[in-house]
Amino acid sequence: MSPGSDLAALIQSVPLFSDIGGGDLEELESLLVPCDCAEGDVLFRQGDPADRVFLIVSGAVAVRAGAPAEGEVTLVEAAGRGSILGEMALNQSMQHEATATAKSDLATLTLDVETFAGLRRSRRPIAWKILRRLARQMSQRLRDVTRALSTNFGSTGANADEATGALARAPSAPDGEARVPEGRYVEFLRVLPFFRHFDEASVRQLLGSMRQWQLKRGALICEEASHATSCFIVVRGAVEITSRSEHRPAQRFGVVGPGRMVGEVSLLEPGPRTATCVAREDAVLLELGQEALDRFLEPTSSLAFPLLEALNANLIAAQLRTNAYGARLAAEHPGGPHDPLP
Amino acid sequence: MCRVLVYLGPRIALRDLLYASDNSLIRQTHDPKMLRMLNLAGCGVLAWDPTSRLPEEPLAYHSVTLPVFDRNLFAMSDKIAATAVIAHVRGVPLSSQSTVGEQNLHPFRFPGVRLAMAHNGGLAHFERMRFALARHFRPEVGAHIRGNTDSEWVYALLLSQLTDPHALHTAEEIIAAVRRTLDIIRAVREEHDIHTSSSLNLFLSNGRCIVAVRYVLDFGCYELDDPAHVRETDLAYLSLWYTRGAEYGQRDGEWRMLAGSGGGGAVLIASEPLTRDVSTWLELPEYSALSASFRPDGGNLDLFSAEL
Repeated sequence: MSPGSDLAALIQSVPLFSDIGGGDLEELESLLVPCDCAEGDVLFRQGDPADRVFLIVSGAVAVRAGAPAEGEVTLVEAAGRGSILGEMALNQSMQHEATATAKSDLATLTLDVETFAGLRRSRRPIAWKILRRLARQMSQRLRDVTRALSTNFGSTGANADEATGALARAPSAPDGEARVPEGRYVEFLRVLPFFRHFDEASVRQLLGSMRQWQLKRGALICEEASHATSCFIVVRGAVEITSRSEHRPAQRFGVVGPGRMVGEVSLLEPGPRTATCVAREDAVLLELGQEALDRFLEPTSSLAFPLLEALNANLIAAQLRTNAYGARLAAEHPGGPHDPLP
Repeated sequence: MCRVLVYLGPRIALRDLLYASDNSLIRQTHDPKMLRMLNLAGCGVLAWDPTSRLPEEPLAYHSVTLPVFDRNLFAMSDKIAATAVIAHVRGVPLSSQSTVGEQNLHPFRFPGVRLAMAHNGGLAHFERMRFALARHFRPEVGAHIRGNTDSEWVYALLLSQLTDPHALHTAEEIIAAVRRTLDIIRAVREEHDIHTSSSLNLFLSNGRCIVAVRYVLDFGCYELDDPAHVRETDLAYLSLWYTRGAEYGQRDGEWRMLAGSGGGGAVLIASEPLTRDVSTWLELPEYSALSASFRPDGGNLDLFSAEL
């Protein structure tokens, strides 16, 4: 395939593949398998194992998700040429979160998830490029969804006074005590979700560039709309993620426990922080700064792949958590907390 | 670690709730989807039927027989229909230290009391705090404890927070009692320097309303003695899902809440969705409660959610 071909142009027009060129482009093209569908065909159903990623060449696809009482939410009215579906499965085994149906006769190219997993295991540069783009895309998507939820929905009943009080100051660092991580930490870290695919040496290498914080319940970790210089991994305890403003009560997007990361969106895709994070329980966090994160994500770093996969897994969990929050709001809006059933 | 469900809505055959769907409660005894633990220590069901002989008294069934092999439960489930149900399958560590017996089966319902409760979770270091908890019991409530589970003690503590444990309570009164119960447990833990993650997913009903609570004390605070002792429930909040609609039934071979077929509204809350297709279920937020109540006029249900 020549770099100037229509197919090459199509592939490179997809943001996920925009860093792919030259030999990598030819390799990617060799992995793509044509798959044509007739109007009305179901490409995949919500809950099915995600075994392929679809790149639409021509035609259109509608993407819908189920809701209680036989409801249905249209996520994408008509995804057309250049759209990609199911790409989160490139990072890990997972189920489809929605159902995709051909709105017209459809030509697609599919990328087998297991084949890509082989590229990940072999630490191929093409896999690094795609995973890195996936991280940026998911970060931007989370930023957009979080903003939309904050704008379109009112309070879910969170404590407005608490939110206002917490905004009285914006610390540049978490409101707790910094300590040097102790040796035994590595053993505990390796049972936590974020570190499960790191070997011991990698964990120690990462730990050498991180700072540990011990926080009391209620301590402010980072604030929405502030400038981000680091992200945080929860080692022990829990962190509450909210959207807060001086002008409206807080919305709680979720609570994360040990082995989850917060604050990474603004480091992966630069911009102001998308949410406020507060210690929901007495917590221990590990702080990783922007410079160290960028260094470890370089393709030549031995930590690049496990770190990218851990970051993407965390972003996927955040996306699912935010989707669940949005689904619940959609089901309960506009009745609020008192909602007589129809 | 247990799996539980509560239901409120139009009369429904117990068979449909307990057995019918592809991730039914009975199936969750040996093949739960959101828990890496078997639930083999018995089953309990309370079911209220307003057309039965004593409508305020639920059918009560408790057995340590593995429900998959329980012919009595299976046969009975097709004969019983109810408008409110609590059902529980009990999970305990596979150890000779675990006590498997009928006295430890949920749901708990003390004599003369309308409110019943089942629990999914566990209080860490319960043995150290149990007698301090007992100080907060009403004596007439505590006297009914028969087993050795933390769950039954939580139930007794909760009943003791109600002005009249024998009355028919509203969902709001039950949630207020839950708040006071959590405060007491938190204070007792503080007294005894207990700060280990402890899940308290509670499922309550009195036949007229249902309440579900999704809560963890000191979430994420695992034991620090040995990494091998870090549990699945230390790292992730115990799941709790709900679905609602006009009635729970089958459509195109799938069990789900159905829309507007003339039913008055139904709510089903469970540790995990009863179907592998979770698209029609919603997850209850952490640190919150959800309730559903029959209206006095017998119309649609009132749904209420609260942060704890």
